[in-house]
Amino acid sequence: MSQINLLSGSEAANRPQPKGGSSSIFLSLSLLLVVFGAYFGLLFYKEMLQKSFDAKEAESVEMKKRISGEKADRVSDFFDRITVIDANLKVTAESPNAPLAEIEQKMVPTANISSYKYDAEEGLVQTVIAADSFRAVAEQIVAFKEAFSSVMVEGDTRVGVDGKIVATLLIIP
Amino acid sequence: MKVKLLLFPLSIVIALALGIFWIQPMASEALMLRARVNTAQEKLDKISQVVSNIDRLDRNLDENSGNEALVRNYLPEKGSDDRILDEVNFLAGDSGLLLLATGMDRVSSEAAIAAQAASEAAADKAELDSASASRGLIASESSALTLPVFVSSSPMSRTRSVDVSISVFGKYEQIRDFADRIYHANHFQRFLSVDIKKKEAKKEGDAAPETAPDVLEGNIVVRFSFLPTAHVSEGSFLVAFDRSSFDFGSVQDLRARATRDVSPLIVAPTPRPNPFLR
Repeated sequence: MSQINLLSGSEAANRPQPKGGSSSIFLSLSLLLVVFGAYFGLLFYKEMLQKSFDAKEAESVEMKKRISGEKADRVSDFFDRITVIDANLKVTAESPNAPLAEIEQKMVPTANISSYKYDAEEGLVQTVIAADSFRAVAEQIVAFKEAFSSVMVEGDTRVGVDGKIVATLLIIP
Repeated sequence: MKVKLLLFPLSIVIALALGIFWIQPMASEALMLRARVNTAQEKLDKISQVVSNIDRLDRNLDENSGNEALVRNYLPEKGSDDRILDEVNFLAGDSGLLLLATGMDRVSSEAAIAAQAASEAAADKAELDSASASRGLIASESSALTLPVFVSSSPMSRTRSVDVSISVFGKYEQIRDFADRIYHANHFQRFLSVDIKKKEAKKEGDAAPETAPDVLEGNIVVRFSFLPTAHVSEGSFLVAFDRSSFDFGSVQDLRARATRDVSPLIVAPTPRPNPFLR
């Protein structure tokens, strides 16, 4: 069956129009408004951040000027002195007489020292001992080994002008 | 009608385009700037903390002026050969020794400069390492984003020294006592060597008087040091300022060590027209 339009032209004109057209304009404008709002909002926020950043930087520069002068010098100077002293106290914790004190305790009756050299920088002791016999020299070395980490004979062990056996010992405390 | 229907999709496309090409870069810039502001705030807080620490440390020194005086006396800011000479003479006499000679040898300034250069290079490297570790991706944008890094003022390399060789005659116990007295003297020092030997037997025809058999010859080399004062350059973040109070533990250790004080040398010079005559 064929379709017949029974409405007259005036009726079609009077019928209510669909609202799609005006709402799309409204939505479009709203969307653009949101976009521009976001843009200008960000622009304002950025300006605010920049001002805040500049203010903080300026304040930092001003504050930095206070890290100098008499007080800072005094504090830094005392700290430096304490640092140097503390390091030195640790390095020199052992008395320079410490190796001598050990040697005193470990002398055998048949030997004596004729020369003592302590190199504090190297931590080495060089002693020349005069003993009654070669055996006494050996005994003295054994006795020293009880107190020191290393005892070595340096060079010749020989009879001296006074008849004593002379030996040079290198000791590592 | 067709235009109206196309308006909304078109506005979406425009909005997207504006969002991508306009808003997104600006949002990124704003985020970056916010990170910079946060870092600037952290930096400011750090600087304020340092300024506050300096005030507190200064007050801390006021409250412990005795410790400060002890430290300044022990490690002076200027070298004083007169003080060293007087101390050595006094302590040798106190130990009953005969002081034969003293020699002073300044520690080479070249060695000190080399040590300073090495120390500064190490400090720079530490600073760079620390700074690069604390930086993020944004940090490379600006130097303002770098947080302050505390550096050492390298006091070791600024220390100046003089090696003093001391020759004495005396008994073993006396030399030992003398070394002990210097070790406990109220003066920054470090022993370099101690040399004790029997005095050589008198040769025939030698006019010098014979000494007692128990008299030994001692040669001691001690390094005395001083630390010249350095001024803090503006805005320097020294390690010293990274605390609010001093640790006086080292001063207590020093008090335990420096038990022997030598009274200062007081002189009364008198004008003389001919200084060659007394």
